[in-house]
Amino acid sequence: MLLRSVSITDTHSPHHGKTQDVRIANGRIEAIADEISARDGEEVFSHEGARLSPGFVDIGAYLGDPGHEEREDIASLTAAAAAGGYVAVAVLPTTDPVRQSVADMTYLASHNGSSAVDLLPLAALSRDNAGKDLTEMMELAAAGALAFTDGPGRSAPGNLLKRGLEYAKSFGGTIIDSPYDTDLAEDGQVHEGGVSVSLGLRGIPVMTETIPLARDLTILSYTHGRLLLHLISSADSLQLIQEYRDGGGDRLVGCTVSAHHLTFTEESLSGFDPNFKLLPPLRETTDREALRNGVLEGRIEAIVSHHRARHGEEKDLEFSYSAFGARGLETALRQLLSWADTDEKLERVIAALTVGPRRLLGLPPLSVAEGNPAQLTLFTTEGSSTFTVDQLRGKTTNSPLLGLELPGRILATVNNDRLWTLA
Amino acid sequence: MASVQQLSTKHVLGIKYLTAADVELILDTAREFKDVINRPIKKVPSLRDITIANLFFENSTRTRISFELAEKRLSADTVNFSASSSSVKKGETLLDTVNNILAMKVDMVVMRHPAPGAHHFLAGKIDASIVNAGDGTHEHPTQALLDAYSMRDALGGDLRGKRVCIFGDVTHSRVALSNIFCLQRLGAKVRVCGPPTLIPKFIGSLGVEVSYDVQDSLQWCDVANVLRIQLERQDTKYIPSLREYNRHFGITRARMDRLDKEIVIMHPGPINRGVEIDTEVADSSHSIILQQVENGVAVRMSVLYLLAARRNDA
Repeated sequence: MLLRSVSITDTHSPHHGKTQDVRIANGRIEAIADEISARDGEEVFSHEGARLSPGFVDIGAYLGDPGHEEREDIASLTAAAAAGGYVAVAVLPTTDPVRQSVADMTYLASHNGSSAVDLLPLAALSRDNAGKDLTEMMELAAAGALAFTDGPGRSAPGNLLKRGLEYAKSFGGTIIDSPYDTDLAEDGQVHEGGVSVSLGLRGIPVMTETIPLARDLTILSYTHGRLLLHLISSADSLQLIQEYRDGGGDRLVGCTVSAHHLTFTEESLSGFDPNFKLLPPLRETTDREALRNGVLEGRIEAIVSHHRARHGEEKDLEFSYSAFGARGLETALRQLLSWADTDEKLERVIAALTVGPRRLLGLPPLSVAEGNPAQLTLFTTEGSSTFTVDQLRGKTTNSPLLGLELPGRILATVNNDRLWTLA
Repeated sequence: MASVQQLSTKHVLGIKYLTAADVELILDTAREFKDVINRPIKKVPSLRDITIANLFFENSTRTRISFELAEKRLSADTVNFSASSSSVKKGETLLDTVNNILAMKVDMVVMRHPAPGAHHFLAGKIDASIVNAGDGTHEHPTQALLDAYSMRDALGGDLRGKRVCIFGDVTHSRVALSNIFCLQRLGAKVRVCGPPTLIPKFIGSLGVEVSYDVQDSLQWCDVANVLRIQLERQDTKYIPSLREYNRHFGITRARMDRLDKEIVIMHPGPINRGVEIDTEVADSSHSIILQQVENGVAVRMSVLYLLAARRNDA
């Protein structure tokens, strides 16, 4: 296939910033040049203003298969991810039953290789996510598990984290923790601040994140394992990570932030819309600005969708009864474009959707260069349109972006030797 | 009682969503209704064609009776629904219940619900006008309006520059939030006072003063609005004991005796006598607690009347 006149957005590519023709053959980038003539019968992609980047990779989307297929099954999750320009999604092991056996890895991998989106397995850190006994981590890693986590919503218990970090050193494994102290959070609903007071909702203080985060970094220094901090939501958290790094700490694989936390703040909650009810909660404008700067300065390596499908019976309720979580796969790039409005910012954001998550997951880098496997995303930053429910591709409608004017759009992806165009 | 003025909103979900002009309009209209309910014939035909559903998903005696009386004085048709909060855990029950009642062609809904924002949820789903009779720890707008009305009566009209201190359990109180928003719209200065565990950490962001000193706050204020200790809304202990609370944060006779000025004492009820306020203070000449109850009917008549008027004009 031939991608005609695409502007290459990939700071790791020798062709970055140039508008080129790109030929894909046998699943690899065969040629990149000013002009390549199409062969007879060759599939040609052409779109005014198209940009080409490495394929987007997500970390930590919630999959409902098995156990909660009514929220999101493999078909609906991959459809949503493709619509958002993703070529691979590392899905959380918080299924029912949890993903913790070699058979579970095989089940997930059996869907890969022929669709627009490959599923990358994360495995449970503790058996049944119960926070007690380690899973068979070495077996799971050998079967393809990229990292181990008990999922967001609570930190791993200290002793479990310590043992997991220690044990995983034997095979270079990575532990993912999302710092959150459920005891301090009590029954918190939203970030603790002016908005929580004004709405009469119980607040979730920033220290619910910073206290376990500081603990995580202390355990990391002690164990010399490999830790990935997933879903940082506050400026204070970023500061703690900076202090760890400034102090010579080099065992932190990196950290992630969600596209929602880079887009919205607690102010979005003033109308009690449960689609903005997230965990960790949306915080203040100063937090959002610090997180944006963290991405632009490369201190936050990956932007994730934090995709969590919830059906109406668990989401479309009075705010306190509504479950945490929002969809994010379909909209991540477009909502990021709403503030990443210069070429320089765009480059950083694209890196945090591509190079960054690959590195955090231990995957080889895939820049847009001849000879590399062709996992690519085609998008445009031009134009804008209102995001509507018919643009969602999953089984649920819990998106906080509905009704908002969003710039740009995803045009197509290349994966598994095919061009996947979006209608 | 024709009024050319109208509320800016179709619902009364909270004082936060009302303008200062809305508040003034409600209070002015309430004054006319207070005259009505003190006449030998206490009933007017204003809402003769209006059907109101009173939905109480949480226990209430005073507020429910006050609304029912207001509705009857206005000649509205009413239906009542009560459910204990334990039987209503999920929103589909709320929506199902409400849809069932609306299928019977109800024009307005007066609702109390334990979940903050429940009325917003409902407002997005149904066509009827909604009056919030209390939503969890969020707002209780008609209580704040009747409090403001009563303060105006007691202080001779204008609340601008007047000092109102809200004492007690602010964290678990919907009355506190609505009072703060209402009093600010009327130009009063507001302070909150209580043990730090019962004062939200970020309450200052609403533009109120915070104090932990009861004696100083009593001396500071023109009106002391004493809140009920919401034992039923505390799933953890925020104070060591009621005895200690009364000794250190209660509005006691001894503390009142130390003041060198006269202040007005208010309480939204029901009172925990001997806890947040002593009987001698609650029943003293400073107290306007029973006037609050009487004014509640007039203020609720005003709210219902103005919402119905807006509905009819729409």
